[in-house]
Amino acid sequence: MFLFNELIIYMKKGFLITCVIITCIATAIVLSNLTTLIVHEAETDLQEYNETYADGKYYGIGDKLMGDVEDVFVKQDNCIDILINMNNWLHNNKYFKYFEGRADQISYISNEIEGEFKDTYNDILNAFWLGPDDIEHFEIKTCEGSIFKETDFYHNKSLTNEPGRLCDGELPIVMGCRFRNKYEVGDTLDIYNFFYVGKAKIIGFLEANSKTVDSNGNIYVLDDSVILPFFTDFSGEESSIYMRCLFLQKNNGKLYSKLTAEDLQDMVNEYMSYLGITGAYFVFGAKNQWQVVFATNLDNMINDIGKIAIGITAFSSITLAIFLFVKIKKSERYFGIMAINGFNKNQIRYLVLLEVLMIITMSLVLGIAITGLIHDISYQEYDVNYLKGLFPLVITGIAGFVIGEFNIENQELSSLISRKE
Amino acid sequence: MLLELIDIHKSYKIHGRKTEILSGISFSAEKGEMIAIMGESGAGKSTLLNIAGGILRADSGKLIYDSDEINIASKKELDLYRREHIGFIVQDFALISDRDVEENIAIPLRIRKINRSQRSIIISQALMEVGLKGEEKTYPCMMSGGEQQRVAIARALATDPDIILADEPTGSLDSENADNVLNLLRMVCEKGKTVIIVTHDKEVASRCNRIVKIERRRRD
Ligand SMILES: Nc1ncnc2c1ncn2[C@@H]1O[C@H](COP(=O)(O)OP(=O)(O)OP(=O)(O)O)[C@@H](O)[C@H]1O
Ligand SMILES: [Mg+2]
Repeated sequence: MFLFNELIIYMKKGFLITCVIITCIATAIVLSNLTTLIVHEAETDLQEYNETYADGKYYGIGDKLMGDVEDVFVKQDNCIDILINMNNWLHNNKYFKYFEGRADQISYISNEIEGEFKDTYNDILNAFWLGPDDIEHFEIKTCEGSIFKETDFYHNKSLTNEPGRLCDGELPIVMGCRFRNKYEVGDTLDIYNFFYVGKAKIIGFLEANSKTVDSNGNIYVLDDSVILPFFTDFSGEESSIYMRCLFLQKNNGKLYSKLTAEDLQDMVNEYMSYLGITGAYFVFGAKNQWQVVFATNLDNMINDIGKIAIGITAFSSITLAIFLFVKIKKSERYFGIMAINGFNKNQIRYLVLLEVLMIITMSLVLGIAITGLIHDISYQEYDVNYLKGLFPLVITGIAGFVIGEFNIENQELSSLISRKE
Repeated sequence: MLLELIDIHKSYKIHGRKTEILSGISFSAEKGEMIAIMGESGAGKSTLLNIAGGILRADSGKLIYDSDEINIASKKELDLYRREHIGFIVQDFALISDRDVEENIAIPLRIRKINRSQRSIIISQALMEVGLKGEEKTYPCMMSGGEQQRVAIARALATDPDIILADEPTGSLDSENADNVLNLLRMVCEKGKTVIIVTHDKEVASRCNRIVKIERRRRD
């Protein structure tokens, strides 16, 4: 208790510098954890999607064409051509296979209360836009009726300028097996969705437990879904918003390959620079993806942050060492006074070491608090590796310990008292 | 004998060379004695006093307190001996300038884990003894040298040690203040404590029971 009281009084001397050191160490802790967060952010998406189908891996591909970036992109006259080129490139690549399949929802006008509320009563169904290559790859089969033909993926109906167009024809759809007791092949539904408004005709039912992989990388069971052909529509020159949205979605699929995410990202980067849209697309989990905001890729960012963290650690260790050295030298007279009052050498030593421990504890608490806060607001579910923060602490702690010991060890108590203040 | 130092040797490294300052000095003090240690500068007076007080370790020799030998090789025994039996007074008072009189006197009491209420009783009593009653909240810088030394004496007395070791306690005081301090030490001595004073001042020495002279060793 007494030592604690003395410690507080002792720490008050040069407390401003102590605060600077604490802030520095805490910053180093936060930065080293930030790299975990960034790596994690990239890696969460890199789930080993589904190994039941083959020996490759599925990698999601996404775009960063949102917000300001999208606004700039849209102003380009040929933005739709760029998207279509990108789509063709994705489909015709020998290093990976590309799948467009993506989960969605559609509204439909319920058959059950046919008549009275036909126009207003509607319901939501899970839907899955199946890409043209998905059927073969995921071995999707029907148990009744038939599956899509190649021509079903080319949709050339008359258009309006609005997205979600009313179409004259009937969109062929396949239903998950759960719907078998409700509908029959040949039934039609009135469905609407951003990409399609109109009649849909059931051409078949899937086998139970038919699966694919959704764009988040999880296995997706199709039993409860309405399966729609993810059609390509080249006829909509005048409906640019529609075409743009369609191809933005179609390009957010997944790559199937034996290569690593980084290798795939390299290829994507190369093609993007050819298209003049550097940084637009990223392969989930690739550390060399471009960070538009920071104008650098993830790998570099992690490296840079790591370097800064190490720099700050080095700086705070050196500052702490110098600070302790000077402070101990300046406190020698005070230690001497304490000695003639009954302090022994160990107590002096504890005082110095307790200060180091206090600095370290405060830094750790501050560092963890800020890391936790960043963790909270980042909406990322991952375990913060607080141990990473121990690296700067270990270095600074050792520095403090050595300085403290070195100074006190070789001193006679009697020579401390003869120091001038 | 209350305190005996027998055949004390102590050398320092001065300019890289080992120089013996004390070579086989013996010295003893009885309870209630007031002793002056004299000798020219550099003779080793302070060295001897510090060894007697346990804040400096002799290279060899014996330290006997109340017929118990204290193992000078053991830091722990020396620390304990110092805490139990020794009060120090030094030339420049050794007060902590940013703590008031009360807090300065409280330091040895806190180290000995004496509780708050007892502390304040002891402090006011010690201040009364040195004639500074009611000065608890004064800061050392606001006091004269004589007063500061009296605070230091109060602090040394607070833990009720048997031996008071004073290294030139009057060295930075004018004669009037020196007289006060000396009277005080005399009084302490009459209460049965042993007071050992290192001094250059013949006047001071003449008021002690006994004078011990240390010769400066001739150096090569
Ligand atoms: N810690 C030390 N390291 C090296 N030499 C020391 C140390 N302490 C004292 N000395 C030397 O030992 C000798 C005796 O010192 P000491 O302080 O005991 O003398 P003193 O008799 O008290 O002198 P003064 O009257 O000047 O106070 C001096 O020459 C001094 O330089
Ligand atoms: Mg001296």
